[in-house]
Amino acid sequence: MNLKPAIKYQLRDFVKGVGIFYLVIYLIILFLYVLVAVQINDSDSNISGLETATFIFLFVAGLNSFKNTFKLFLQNGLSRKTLFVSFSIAALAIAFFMDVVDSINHLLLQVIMPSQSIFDQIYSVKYVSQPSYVRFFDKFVWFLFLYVAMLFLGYFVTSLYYRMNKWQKLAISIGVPVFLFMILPLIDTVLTHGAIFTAIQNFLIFAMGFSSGGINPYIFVLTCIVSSVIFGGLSLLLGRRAMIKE
Amino acid sequence: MNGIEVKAVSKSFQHVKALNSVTLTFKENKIYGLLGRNGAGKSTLLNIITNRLFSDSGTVLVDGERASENDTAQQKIFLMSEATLYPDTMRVSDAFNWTKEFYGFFDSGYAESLCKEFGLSPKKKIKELSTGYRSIFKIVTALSVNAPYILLDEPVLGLDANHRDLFYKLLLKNYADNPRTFVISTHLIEEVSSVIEDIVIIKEGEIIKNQSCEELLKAGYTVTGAASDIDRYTAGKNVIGVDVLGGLKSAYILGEPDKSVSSGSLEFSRLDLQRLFIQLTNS
Repeated sequence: MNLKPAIKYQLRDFVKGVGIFYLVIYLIILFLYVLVAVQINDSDSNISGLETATFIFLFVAGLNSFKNTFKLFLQNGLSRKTLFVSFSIAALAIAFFMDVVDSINHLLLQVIMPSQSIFDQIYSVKYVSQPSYVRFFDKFVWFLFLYVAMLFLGYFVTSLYYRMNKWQKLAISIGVPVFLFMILPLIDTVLTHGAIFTAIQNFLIFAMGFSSGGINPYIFVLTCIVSSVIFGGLSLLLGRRAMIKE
Repeated sequence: MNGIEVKAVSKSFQHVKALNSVTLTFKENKIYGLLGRNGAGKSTLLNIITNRLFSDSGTVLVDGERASENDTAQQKIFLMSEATLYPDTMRVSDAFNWTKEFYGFFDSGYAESLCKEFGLSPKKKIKELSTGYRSIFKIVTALSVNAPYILLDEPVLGLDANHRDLFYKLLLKNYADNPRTFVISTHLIEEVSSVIEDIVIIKEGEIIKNQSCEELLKAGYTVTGAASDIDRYTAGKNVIGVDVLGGLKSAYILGEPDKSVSSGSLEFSRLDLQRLFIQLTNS
C-alpha cells in the first residue's frame, strides 16, 4: 500500500476545515465573552458544551471525506483499500488533535468564565470525590472515541450515498425520517403503547454508561468503539466495490 | 517486464455488453492506437485496466502482477481520462505536487516547461479551466508522470489545431527521450496515424484487429479509377468498401494489388487508416 502520501493527503484535506472551524469557535467565544462582560454583566453566565460543535463538525467532515478523495486516489493509482486505511488513520489523528485542542480550549475558557463540557454535565456525579486528573483523562478518552465515531458515521453515510442510484437515495432520504419520526411513533403509540421508545430510551441510557450498577463513562467509550467498527466495516464493504461514475 | 496483459475480460452495464472476453497485451515501449466507434468499449477497457471499474470476469496483469486493487501495479500506470478526477477547487500546481507525492517519478521541471509551451497557468484552479485547457492540464500531467504505461483517453478533446500539433510533437519527443508504452484512444484517426506503431481496433466490445499499423495498412490497398474499370477490376476480390464520386470510384481491397490488369484509369495507393477503420467498424 502506498500509504504515506495517502495519509498526508487525507490529513491535508482536513487541515483547512479544522482551521476555519476553530477560527469560528474562537470568534464565537470572543463575541459571547464581550457580550456577557460588557452588555449583560452577569456573573452567572457560562459557556458550556462547545464540544458539541466539534462532533457535529467531524460528522460533516466525515460526510465530505469520500467522493473527491476516492476519485483523486484512483486517478493516482491508489486502491480502495489504501483509501479506507488512510482515512481511518487520518480520522484517529484528527480526532486526537481536536480532542487535545478542545481540552486546552476548555482549560483556557475556565480562566475567563465558568465552563462545563457535556462530559462534565453528564457524569459530574461520578467525579465529585475523584482527583481532577482522573476526570480530565476520562473526559479525554470519552471525547476521543466520540469524535472517531462521528467521523466514521459521516464516512459511512457518504459511502452509502455514493453507492446508491438516484431512486435509492431518494427512498433513503425520505424513508428514514418518515419511518423514525412518523411511522415508528405511530406504531409505538397504537400497537406497543410506548414499549418501543421505552426500550430505545433504556438502551441509550445504558449505552451512555448509566445502569443500576452505577455510572461508567467507559461504557459509552465502548459504544463509540463498537459504532466506529460497525460504520467503518460497512464503509469498507461499500467502498470495496465502488466504481467511478463519469 | 511483461506489459499490460488483459485476459478474457468481460464487462456489462445492465443489459449492454461493453466488453466481451477481451484478450490483448500492451507490450512495453510501444505507442498503441486504441480505436473504436463511440460506445465500442475503449474507455471501459482503460478504466478496468486502471482499477476504476471492475470487470465481471477475466483478469488484468501489469508486469505479471494483478492490476485490480494493487497499488504497486497501479503505480506503473497513469490514465488520462476524459473525466476530470481532480477536485475542482485544486490548483494546477497543487495537482502536480500531489501527483509527485503519489507517483514519486513525476518530473515537476518538465511539467513547468510544458505549461509554458501550452500557455497553461499553474496558478489556475481546475474549475477555471476551459475544456481544452483541462485536456492540456491532463496531458502535461500524463507526459510528466514518467510511469512505464501511459494511457491517454481522448487526449486532444477540445484542443485547437495548434495545440493538437504541439501535443503530437511533444508526445514523440517524450517517447524518443524516454521510451515507454503509450496507449492513445481517440476518434481523430487521421491525426494519430502518423504517431502510432500498433493498432487495436475494438468493435462492440470485441477486438477485431490487433497488429502493427504498417502490417494493417499493408494488408490491403486502395484502387481509384473510372467506375466501370473499378467494377471490372474488383470482381472476385475481397473488397472491404467503395466510395463513389461522380464517375470516379475508389475501392478498398484486402490483398496484394493485381497490377497485371492493365487499365490506364486505375491508380493504386496504400490504404488510408481512417478509411480502413470506417470500413472495418461499419456494422
